[in-house]
Order: sequence, then structure tokens, then C-alpha cells
Amino acid sequence: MARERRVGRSIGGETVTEPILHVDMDAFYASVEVREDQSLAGKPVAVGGGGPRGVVMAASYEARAFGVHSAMPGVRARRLCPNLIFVPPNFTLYRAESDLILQILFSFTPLVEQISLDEAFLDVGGSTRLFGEPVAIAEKIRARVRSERSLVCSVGVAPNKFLAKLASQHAKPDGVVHVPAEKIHEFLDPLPCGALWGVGEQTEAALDRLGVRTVGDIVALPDGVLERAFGPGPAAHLLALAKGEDDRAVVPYEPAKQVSAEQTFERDLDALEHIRRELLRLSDRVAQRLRSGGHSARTVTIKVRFSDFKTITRSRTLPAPTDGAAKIYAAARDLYASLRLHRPRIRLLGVAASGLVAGSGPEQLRIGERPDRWGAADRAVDRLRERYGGDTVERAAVAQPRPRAARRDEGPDEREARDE
Amino acid sequence: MRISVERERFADTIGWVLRSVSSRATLPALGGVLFDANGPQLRLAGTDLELAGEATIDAKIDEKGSVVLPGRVLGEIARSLPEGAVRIESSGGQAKLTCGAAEFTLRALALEDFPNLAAPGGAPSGTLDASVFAVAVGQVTRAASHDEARPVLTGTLVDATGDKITLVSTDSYRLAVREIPWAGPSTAIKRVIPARALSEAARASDGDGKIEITLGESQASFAVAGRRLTTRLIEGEFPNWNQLIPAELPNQLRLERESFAEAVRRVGILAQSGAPVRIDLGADGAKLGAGSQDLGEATEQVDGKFEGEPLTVAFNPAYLLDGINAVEGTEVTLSTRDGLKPAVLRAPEDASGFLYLVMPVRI
Repeated sequence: MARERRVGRSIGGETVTEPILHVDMDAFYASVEVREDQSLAGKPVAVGGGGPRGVVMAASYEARAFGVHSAMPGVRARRLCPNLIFVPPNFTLYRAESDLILQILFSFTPLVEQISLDEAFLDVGGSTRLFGEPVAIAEKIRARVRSERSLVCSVGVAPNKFLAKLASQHAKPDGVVHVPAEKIHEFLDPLPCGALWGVGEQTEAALDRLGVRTVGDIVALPDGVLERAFGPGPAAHLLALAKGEDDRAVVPYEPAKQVSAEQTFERDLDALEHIRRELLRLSDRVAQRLRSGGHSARTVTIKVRFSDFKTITRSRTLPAPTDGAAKIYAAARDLYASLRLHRPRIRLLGVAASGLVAGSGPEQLRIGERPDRWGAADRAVDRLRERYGGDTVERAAVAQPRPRAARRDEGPDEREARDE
Repeated sequence: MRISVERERFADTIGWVLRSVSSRATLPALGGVLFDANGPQLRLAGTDLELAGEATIDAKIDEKGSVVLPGRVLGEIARSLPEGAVRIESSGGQAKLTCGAAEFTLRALALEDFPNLAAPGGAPSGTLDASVFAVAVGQVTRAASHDEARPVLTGTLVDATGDKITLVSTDSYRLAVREIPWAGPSTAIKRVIPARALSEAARASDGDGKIEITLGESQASFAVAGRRLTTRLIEGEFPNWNQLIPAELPNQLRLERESFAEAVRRVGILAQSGAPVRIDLGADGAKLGAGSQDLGEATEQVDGKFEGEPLTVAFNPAYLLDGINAVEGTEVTLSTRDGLKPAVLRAPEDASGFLYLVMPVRI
């Protein structure tokens, strides 16, 4: 589906010069929670853990007014905003919501690239005959998200992904920013260098030493200065971004390579019983995500981070792909056992499934094990969780007093492994 | 110590002893081979503390003594020596090894650090033809698990009674059993022996001679042709395998073994990423199939004699092949009840005492 991107595409004689939309939900997790519980409306709300190791995953605009933002430690957030209301995340709900919003996006174009649960790129270059100019499409999307989902989003409209994303950041909250092709420089030049994608503190500091403060300053630099400072490759990249050039296509669908869940504990785990229980819980989540994505996995990986932040991962390939919690847990438990740890202090556990194949996959049966013992149960649990929420049903082994866990402090969605 | 030995015999023996020596020894002496020339013959020994391999060979012993020499380098030297007798002379923390015009001086390892190799005491539990033992070990150990998380399944159950010895391994997906008649102990003995140790024991002989099996309380040993392999036992309860073998299987297919194996191998090429090979059992034999949407399909018909109701059953091709290859003789029978129950591979008429049970893949 990927195709060459040009700035401006000719369709039936018309040229759409700004076909790319970046749709970004405003304070997504927090907004969903507020919508579900109106008593939270107008109050500072943070989704995430409020405990000693909790992290803010999303903050309502009321909370942001106090300086609370995502990825901030919960303790710090509470210091900034003593009345902050912490809501534990409910990813089943966010995922379901995200799917419904995606359906709205897909009704405008098949070229939708979801970046995360609350963000997507659209290429509407081929949709203008049906739905109007890209800016009009942006407004229609916002209107439908508001009326059908009672949620607010911001949209950037621009010639390419990089500019569209920048534009949506400027549109927040609840707005549309359109960057026409002929006004790229007008839009970009006054921005600080740090606004460019991939320009972090170090690059920004290096640019600052060159006397470069804004994007316009980068473009105005004499030839060769950037090359000498950063090397030819990075310099070319930086200059392209500063000129607002980006030729990445909107790639509609990227199959998941891995499904994972991990958990940081408020207090380090040391008892085998607790460790196994958490592995079971994580395996259960991973299996559920596999099934909801229509996948089976061939390889199970566990990640163990100790209190000193040393992190190890171990993988095993199963005899046949599975989407069953029991099989994933069995592999995770065996992998953990093979580490032969003596009195470990574990800060974080993770379970990941990779080597994904479509479907529930063939199941290698075990001697003396009745087939499908768990499969039917797994699917019944999926239905209950779908209907009544993520915590409705737990395995009995999991439904013990928890070793005070930062509640479901796991990744927001399917993602790639990031081994450290 | 001053000795000389025949080169080929020396190289061969060092090679076998080194199989019990860890390449990553925790203690330097454990990476070494012990030369013990205090008896009438030269004794060579190596151990990783789980296994110990000992071999005695004829040598001309001019001066008694012992020395421990580094194993890995010794193995390389032994393999590359020129024609001629090998002379080894040790003194003062080093040893000189000469053969033809080649001369090596090696630093010796600490003799006192080399562990005392215990061996199970008492009379041997029984003896077998080394060739029969080697075949049986090959048939059975292939079904053992490599998963250290369940140590007992990495072993082979050795169940010795007065009239037969039974070897069993399973990784919980398949199970292999071989019974061999023998004159064994009056009271039955059951031990779980690391599958790796059995494989090394099977390599101890080139097929001739009798292997003497001693099943002790905490160790087992296998002695043949001047070599002895001693191993620790695996603790834990081996699964009660007898009740896992289905008594009667209504659907039986008899196939030419080599054609069946080749067909599984060919069709299995398209059984990737854990996909199974399907087998349609019917009146004219077996129709094999495998494939996926992304890749394509492979099918092959293997003629055979079938009794029972036609059915379809699917297997992991590697597990299936392991079983077909383990059966002796020109023919094999595949018996099963249905696509979710264990299937059994064995030689027709059940003459060999070997059985390979394999669980299907549910499709």
C-alpha cells in the first residue's frame, strides 16, 4: 500500500497540496475517564499510578494547568497539584474507544496509519472529491468524534507527516491548524529548533552554540556549517526537516511484531509465589491481546529487572504458536525457573509474545493433557472482559492479595521490544 | 611419570574422555584430563562433576606417576599428531609430549584439585550387547526434553527388572520407550539418568563387546571396552508413563518406513513457523499435506495398508520424523484413535520392543 509521496498529488486534474492529516486525541485517556465518570468533569485528573513508583500516563487539561504532564512521576504530580485525582488506567476501554475512533477515520480514507491509541495519520489526497478539501475533512472528523464519541481531538493539515504532526501540536486543544504548502516557512521558521523531530537537548545545545535558535536560523546558515557541526548525514536530515521536507508515506497497516505487557512494582518482589502470580497475570494480558488482535505467537520472552536496574531477558520458542494464557504462562514460568535466581529483588517483570501468526493457530497437544482445556475458558473470559471491563474476571491464582502493584503500569498497546 | 602410548588409540581415547569435560570449567583442573600411570595400564579421566569419563589403555609405563593436562588443547594436539608413538614425560609442574619430530611442553594443572571420581559400588545390575544398547539409547534419548526447568524430563528413566531393562524419555509432547530383555537384578531398580550421559555411554564402544550397567543409589555407571562413564542421577519423580500409552488404537496404517520419512521431510518444507503436517489416513494410505496462505501448499501420497475409519491428524513434522527414524526395520505402523489423542509409531508385529508416542497438533 505504501506509495511514493509527493508534495501535491494530481487527482482527476486537481492537485491536493496538503493531503496529510494528523489526528491527535486531546488528553485521551483522561478524557475517556471523565466521559465515563462525569463527577470528574472540570477537575484535575491523571490517569496512572499515584503510588511511589507510579507514573502519570495522561493528564486532563485542568491538571495540566498545574504543570502536570504525562510521563511525570506520580509523586511529583501530586506535589504540583494536591487535589489531583488519580484514576487507574483501563486499557481495555481505551483500546475499544480507539477502535471506534479509527472506524470514523477509515470512513474518510483507507490510508490511515495508527501511531498509538490516540494518534493517527491520514492521507486524504484521494478523498477530496467525496468529502471536500483536507481542512473540511479535518473539521468533519472533529465533529464526528465530538458527536459520536463525546471526545475532543486536534488535527494538523499539511503537505507531509512531519508538518501535520507539528501542526496538530499547535492546534491543541480542540482545534485545526492548516499549513499550506506555500506557507511552510512562515509556519516553521519562528519555531524553536527543539520543535523539529529528532532534535533533542544535545542537538539543540549544539545549535545554540552556533547561534541558531529557530528553525529559520537553520535554513539561513551558510552551506557547510551544519555538516561540520553534525556530519553530512545528520546535517542533511536536519536541513530537510527545517525546510519542512518529509517523504515518508502514510502506511495504512503495520502488523504487530510483538505483544507485550510489563509491570513495575511499588515494592520489589522476592517471593516466588508472588513472582509467579505476576507472570500469570502478565501472560493472561498478553494472551488476551493476542486473541483480540487475531494472533498466535511462537516465541515467549520474559523480562526481569532487578532492584539495581540490571535487566535480563530470556526467550523460548514454543512447539506450535499459541494464543492461550496457560501455554504462555507455562513458558514464562519455565523461563523464570531456568534463571535459577536466589532471593532476587525484582523491580519489573515483563512477558512478551512474538513470532506472530494469524489465527488462533494449531495447538501442539501435550501428553495427558485434555485438549482445549483453557481455550474455551480464555475466550469466555475475553467476552466477559469486553463487556464488563478488564478486571471483571481474573484467574483464581491471580485473585490473591496483590503484592502492591502499580496497577497495570504496562505499555499502552502492542509495541516492539525495547531491551535495555 | 614417563609413558608411551600408541598414537591412534591415544587420540581416540582422549576424544572420548573430553566429551565429559566442560569447556567452561569453574575450576581450572576441571578443564583438564587426568593421566594416571600408577597401575598396569594408563588411566585417562575427565569430568564436569555431572559426568565422568574414564578409560584405560595399554601403555608402556617407564615411570609411574600422575599429571593433569589442559583438556581442550590436549584434544587438538591429539587429533593432529603425526605418525608414531606418543611419549609423555611429566616433572615439576609441566609435561613434555613428543610424537615424531613434534614436541609440546604443557603446563600441568593442579593434580590435587582434580576431583576423586566416585563410582557406584556393588555388582553390576546387568549387561547388554553394546550395539543393542547404543541403538536403544539413540531411539529413546531423542524424546528427552532440553528444558532445564523440568530437570526430570531431561533424563531417561532406566527401569531394570530381572528379565528386562526399559528405557523411557519424554518431553511431554512425545514419549519413547524401548524394552530389552536381559538378566537383571532380582529387585527392580528405577533410576533417572541424564539423557546426555546415556548418549556418551553409547559412544564409549564402537559396537563390539558387552556393556556393564551399574545402577547405584546416587550414581550410575556404564563400562565397556576399558571405558567407564559414571553419571549422577536426576532426582524427581518420572511421569508414570505406562498409563499414558493407549491400550488399543482402532485406526492403523502400515507404511514403508523410508518412503514415509522422505514424504514427511519433503512436505514438511512448507510446514514453517510451527505449522504442522496434516495426514489424511484412508484406504489407500496416507495423504500428507502442509502449507500456509503466505507460502503455498505441499502434498504427497504415501501408499500403505489401512484398517479403521478414515481420519485426519496433524503433527509437528520434526516430532513425527524423530519417531519414524527411530523405528527399526523397513516398515512402520502409525496407530491412532482420533486427531486429538496420542498416536503411536512402532514396527509392525511389535517385534522390537520399541514404541514412540507422539501427540498431535490440533488444527
